[in-house]
Parts: sequence; structure tokens; C-alpha cells
Amino acid sequence: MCTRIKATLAVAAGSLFLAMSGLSPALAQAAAAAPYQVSDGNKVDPHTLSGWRTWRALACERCHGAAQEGMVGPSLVNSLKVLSKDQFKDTVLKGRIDKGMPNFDGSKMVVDNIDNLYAYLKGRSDGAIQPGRLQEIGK
Amino acid sequence: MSFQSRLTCLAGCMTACLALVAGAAFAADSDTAKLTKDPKNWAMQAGDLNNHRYSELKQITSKNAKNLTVAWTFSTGVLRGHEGGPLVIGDTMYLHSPFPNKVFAIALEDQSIRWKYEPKQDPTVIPVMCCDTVNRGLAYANGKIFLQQADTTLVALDAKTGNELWKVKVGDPKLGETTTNTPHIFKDKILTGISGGEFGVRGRITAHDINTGKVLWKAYSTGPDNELIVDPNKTMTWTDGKMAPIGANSSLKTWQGDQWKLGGGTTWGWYSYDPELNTVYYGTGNPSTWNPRQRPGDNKWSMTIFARDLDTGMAKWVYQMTPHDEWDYDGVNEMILADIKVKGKPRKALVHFDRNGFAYTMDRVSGELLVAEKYDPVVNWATHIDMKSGRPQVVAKYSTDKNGPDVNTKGVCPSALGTKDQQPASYSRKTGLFYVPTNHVCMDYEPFQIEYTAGQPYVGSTLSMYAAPNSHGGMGNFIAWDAGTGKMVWSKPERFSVWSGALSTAGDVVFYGTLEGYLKAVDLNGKELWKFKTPSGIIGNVTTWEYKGKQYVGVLSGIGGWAGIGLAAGLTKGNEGLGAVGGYKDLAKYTELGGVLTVFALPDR
Amino acid sequence: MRRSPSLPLLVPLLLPLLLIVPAAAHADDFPTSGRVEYVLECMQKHDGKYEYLYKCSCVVDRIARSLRYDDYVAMSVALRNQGLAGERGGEFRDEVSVRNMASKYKEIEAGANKACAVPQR
Repeated sequence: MCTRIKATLAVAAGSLFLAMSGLSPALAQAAAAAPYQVSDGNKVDPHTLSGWRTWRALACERCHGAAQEGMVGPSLVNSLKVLSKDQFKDTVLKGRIDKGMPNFDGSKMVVDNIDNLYAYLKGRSDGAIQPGRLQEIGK
Repeated sequence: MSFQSRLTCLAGCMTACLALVAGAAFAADSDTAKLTKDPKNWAMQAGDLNNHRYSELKQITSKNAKNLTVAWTFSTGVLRGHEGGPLVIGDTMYLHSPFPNKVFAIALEDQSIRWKYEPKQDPTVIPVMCCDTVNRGLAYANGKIFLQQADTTLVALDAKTGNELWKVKVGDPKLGETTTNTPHIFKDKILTGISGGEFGVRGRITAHDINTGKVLWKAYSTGPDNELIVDPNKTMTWTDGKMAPIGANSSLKTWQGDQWKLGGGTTWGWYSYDPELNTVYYGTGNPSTWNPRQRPGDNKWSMTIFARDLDTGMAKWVYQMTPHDEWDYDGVNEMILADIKVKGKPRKALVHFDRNGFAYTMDRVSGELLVAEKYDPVVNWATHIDMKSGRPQVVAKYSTDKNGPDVNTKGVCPSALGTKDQQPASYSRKTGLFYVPTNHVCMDYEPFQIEYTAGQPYVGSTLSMYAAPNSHGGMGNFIAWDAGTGKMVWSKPERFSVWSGALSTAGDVVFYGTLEGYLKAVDLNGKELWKFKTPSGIIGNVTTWEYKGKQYVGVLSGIGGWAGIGLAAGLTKGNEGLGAVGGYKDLAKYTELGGVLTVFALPDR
Repeated sequence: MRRSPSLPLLVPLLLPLLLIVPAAAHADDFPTSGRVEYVLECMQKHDGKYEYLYKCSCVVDRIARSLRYDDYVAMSVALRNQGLAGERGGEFRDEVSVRNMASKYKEIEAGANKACAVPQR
């Protein structure tokens, strides 16, 4: 909890500083220890890109919306603001069957990419990563 | 033997004899087909064995349809998409709902609820169903009501009391298997299918005994010949301008390795039956995955029209409409059996409006391909169907396989939802024409690599849909089609896609519903006679029946969706629909999202 | 079996329909049932409180003055189905003209809500 607050403050402070100093967003994110790196809104580091691919492959948008805005399932833009990383992993891997969220611990892709998926969705929730197609930074 | 034991023996023999006689009577025909011949009833979802969706009733005519007014309504209390329609037999209506699949028996006299049934379903089905929790309706036979639940349980209920008589599970939701189809009563059997083409489910149909639910035969859509129930030398298919045997391993040869096991070819659509030929007709869905590169080959027998012997399941003929599908054009739409003149010659035909945008006319006896024409001119993924080989001539730039994964193939018409999805057309025995609800939508389609995990989506593509460009700007058309010549007779544009099942009547009226919620009546030239706005978008099938000398038309509204209003209305907990009882409570629960059956009739003079 | 003579495609009347023109003077063509449906749902959103009978009526009357009924139906359906899950929802979300209808209606409704003191829900 404490770490999360510190991290949040760090991001906020970092963004403020960098906004004022006009440094590139990619550097900004690196400085603030966010789990993702992003540039121009749609170019991300390879791990976050894998996270996006996992999101796409498991057809999560069918319940959560193409922009994670929520449909049958809740808005992940909101959820990722309140869930800790561990809570997120728990929810995705174990599911919430009675609420309609399947468990994804049987999917190798999800299990292998759970941290990457978190990074992608956190980036979406922070508003740093645009919805839709992503590319790798520098490619 | 003593006298006593002789008596016992005789008694035993008599009992056995009676049992045999009774058993023989038991195994005889269902009464469903006979009930469908009385136009006062609507005894099966498709109207009759031929899937005509046509009624001989003519109290409502093209002259007086404009006077139709609401007679009564019934709320299911369920906030999901309502497909299918009511059954009406005599003085009782039987109505279903989408998940959780409630069943109501309603007295036509005063709309009181005679009984209701709500199954307890396997909860693992909920996540798998996420966005497609529809149910296409109940079936009736011999005093029993049959429900095919979402969790793949097929249950028989006593039509008088709603008590469970027998239950059978036909699939496993943990593997991504669910069911949305109506079960079909043909002769002494009940047939059902399976859904889950997007979960790598292996499609099949099963035939069960009406009295016990026992599985009589099971026929897969992909795999080895014995599981397909085909005879390599006797099962025929259109080949090079004539019928020829399919040969050995016709399915296996067209898949790489073990991919046929995740083959798809699901069977969630409408089936028809010709009692004279004792043949069942149905179509199969898409091959898994949606990424065509991952499954080279024709992927037989996905996207196929099957004609099977009802008693043995043996396939008489097959015809694959979209070999190596690249666009999700499921072949499960209704197979309308109509005796029409095709290119001047009378034929026992089978007419099928496929998702892929082509309307097929087959000879249902032999399986010959007679006509295959686009029923929406914007269809562009293929230029035409080569009538000799029966194969579509694919246009390279719309081939998502050719363009490859992670490439957005743009401008493909129709979209994955097809020129027509499951919403059934109607055939008028009076005009000889087909009245078809259609989509006028194109798409950009981008496949990507995906791995299979049981119970998890195995889709492998994203798509974006839009109204067909360079056209009237709307996303739907309601058309009249001549299947004898393969020509459009008229086309009525609609703002949104038409996702409701059509109905035509001897009163010269054709009905369909729109996504705005309008129930519309048009005349035989497509001119609008009347429209009425029901509370929510219509994806149900228009139905008609007669009770105490009055003709009624009813349709389910409810397209689904979970906006906040649903929560406010307190209907998300699946509270029971209150029907016509407790009018004020209805008012309090009013929401444009809840499922409602609206019933219309002409006003009393 | 009588066959209809070949007819040309019915003249498409849709293009004008998709160009939603706010009907200034000739609107107010909502059938009573249309207004009642709106008011009922609106009251439902506000816990059925009686005062909303008047406030919601105010809203629908304003909307009726801005839009022809047919346009209102199409636009409100466009908005309502933005959240329709799965593939089917794509028809409402992906198609630009439908999204525009949804936004336009949202704007009109929000304006009417404000003028009639109905909190947005």
C-alpha cells in the first residue's frame, strides 16, 4: 500500500517535473518506475506489447470493451486505479466465476504474460497508452 | 407347471405383450408435425418442418393491418437478447427467455401464468457466454416441453405442470461448449446441436429419444468417417457438375494434423426435415480459429449443408459453401424446404441464405447445386460461385489469408455477421417468394496468431464493421427473393440491420422487426402498411396464431445490453417477469431493456 | 403461385434520414406512447420519485421540440447500444454515422436534462 502511494506520488511528481521541463514521455515513465514504457501513445516496450497481444488474443474486449471502458464487465480503466498488482493477478488467474469473469490460469499465454498484461492495462488506465493497435518502440 | 405358476406366467406374458404394444405406440410419431398443420397453432419455432415461417391465417390482411393494436404484453424479466419466439398450442402459450432460460406456460385466456420453470445452471457457463446468452426457443411434443439450456443441458418438462421428466447434458462448458439453439422434434426423435466455434469446440448434432433423452446417434462435423457418420462411397457431394461420392477421409484430408479436433463446425442454427425422404437438413459453422493461416486446407466439413437420414444419422449428401473460411461466414442458417420451379423445372428444393452472401438453391433429394447468387449486390469477397465445382471464386484483396496475419484486410463485404445471420427468412406458399431479413454491413478484418486453451476464446482476429459504402447509408435491407431464378424481386432499405425472423401470411402481409424496436408489416411489394414501436430492439421471430376466432401476431423485443438502467430496474438479479399480472408492478419495473413479448390483434368492432 | 413482377429497388429514403436535421418548427410529433415511455424510464432512473414525472416530462417535451420522432428513435437506439457486448455491438460502435447519432443525442438529452433540473444518470 505504502509502496503504491509512493509510486503514485513519484509518477505525479515526475510527470509534473517533466511536463515543465518538456522531456519526452518515454523518459518520464522510466524515471517514475511505471511498469510500462510508452512513446507517442501507441509505441511501447516489448513486454507491454506482449501484454497487449495477450489482451487481444484472449478476446477480453468482448466483455470489457475495445478501449477497456467496460461493457458487460467493468471498466478496467477504473479497476486498474484501485487494484494492486497482486489483486489484479489474482482476479485474472482465478477469475470471479459468479460474476462472469473466467479464470485464465489454464491459459499458458496469460500465465506467462500476466505481468505484461498488467503493464499494458495500467498504461491504459493511466491514460498513457492509447486504445487500439500498438507497435514496439523503435520499430 | 402348477395352475398358479401358469397364471403368473400368462400374466407375465400379457404384461410383456401390452408393454410391447404400448412401447410400439410410444416409439411412434410425435404429434408436433400434425399440430403445425393447424394454423391456429404455432407448434414449433420454425412454424413447420419445412421452416417456412408462413401462416394460412388471413384475418389480418394488407387492407386492415394498419389497424393492428396492442392486445397484451408479457415481460420475461430478463435483460439479455431475446431470439426465437413463443409456441402456441391450443389455449396455451409456452415462452422461453435468454439465460437463465426461464420457461413460462401462459394461459391465452387471461395471460395468467400456469407454471414457470427456471433451471439451475452450471455456473461455469456464465463467463463463456459473456455476450451471447440468447436462446432460440422451446420445442413441444406429446405433452412435453423441451428446453435446451445454455449449459448444454437438454431437459424435458411436463407441459401441464412444468415438472422435469428427464435431463441430458450434451456438452461441457469447461471446454467452451454451450448451447443456444432450439431443439428440433422430427418424427420420434429430438435433435440438438452445440455452440462454441470461438472456443475450439468440435461441432456435432445428437439425436435423442423423445421419451427418455437417450442418445440415439451423434454426428460430428469434422474428423474420421465413422464419427462423421458418412459412407465414403454413398455420401455424395457436388463435384465437377454432378454428384459424386465424397471418398474416404474427406474431412481428415482437409486439415493439418490434429487441428480437426478443434475444428468448429458447430450446429447452433435451424434444422428442417422432409418426412417423405426421412431426411434432416442443417448447416455447420465456422472452422476454428478465425485466423485462416493457422489451419490450411478446405477444413471440411465446416460451412457445410448436411442431409442426413433421420433414423441412422447417415449423411446422404453434403455441400461445403465456404471452403477454408477466412471471414467467419458460419453456414448454420435455416434450410428452407420448398417445392418450387427452378429455372423452369419443378424441384424439391432446399433454399439457404448463407452468411457468406450467397443464396443457394439445392435439389434436396440429390444434393445438386442449382442456383447460387448474391442476395446483396455489395457482396465482394467472391465474384461468384463456380457452378461446376461449387466453389466460390475468392477475390485476392479480400482474402484475409492471402494478406496474412497482423494485416488489416479492408472493405470486405459482408461483415463477419454475414448478409444474414441466424434470423430466419420466410417462404410464402402463396407467392412462391422468400422474404429475407438482411445485413448491409462490411468490415475490416485482421487475423493474428493465437494458441488454443480449453475453455478460452480461440478467435484470433479483430474486426471493425460499418455500413456498406456507396449505398443507401443504412445497415440493413428487407428483401423479397426468387429462389427459382436467383433474383431479387424488391429490396426495402433499413437504417439498422434486420436481425428479426420474418413471417408471411395468407393475408398477403409480411412482418419483420427492426433494431429500433419497430414491428413492421409490409405488403407483397414491400410497401410499409404499419409499424409499431415496441420497447426495445427486436431480434426475435415474428409469430402468429389464432385464439377464440381472433388472429394474433406476437414478437419478443429485447436486444441485450447492461446499461445502468438495468441495474436501477432491479432486473439484473433475474427477478421473475410478472407478465400481465400486477400491472402496477410492471409499470414500476418498466425498462426499455427488459425482454417483452408484445402481442397485437385487430381491434374489436 | 403468383410471382410479383420485377420491380426496381425501392427508392432509398435513408440518406436524408441519416443526415439528422434538428427539426425546428415542425417537430413535436412524438406519439403520446413515446413520451410516456421516456418519462417512465426516466422516473425509473430516479427511484420512481413523483417529482420526476414533471421533470422528465419537461425533458422529453424539449427533446421532442428538437427532434422528429423517427430521428429520436434512431439516435436514442444508437446511444443505448454503444455498450452492446460482443460482435453485435460493433455495429453500433464501429460505424461512424451511428456513433455520431449517439453523441448528438447525448448532447441534446444532456441539454434538456440541465434545463429541466434532472441530474444526469
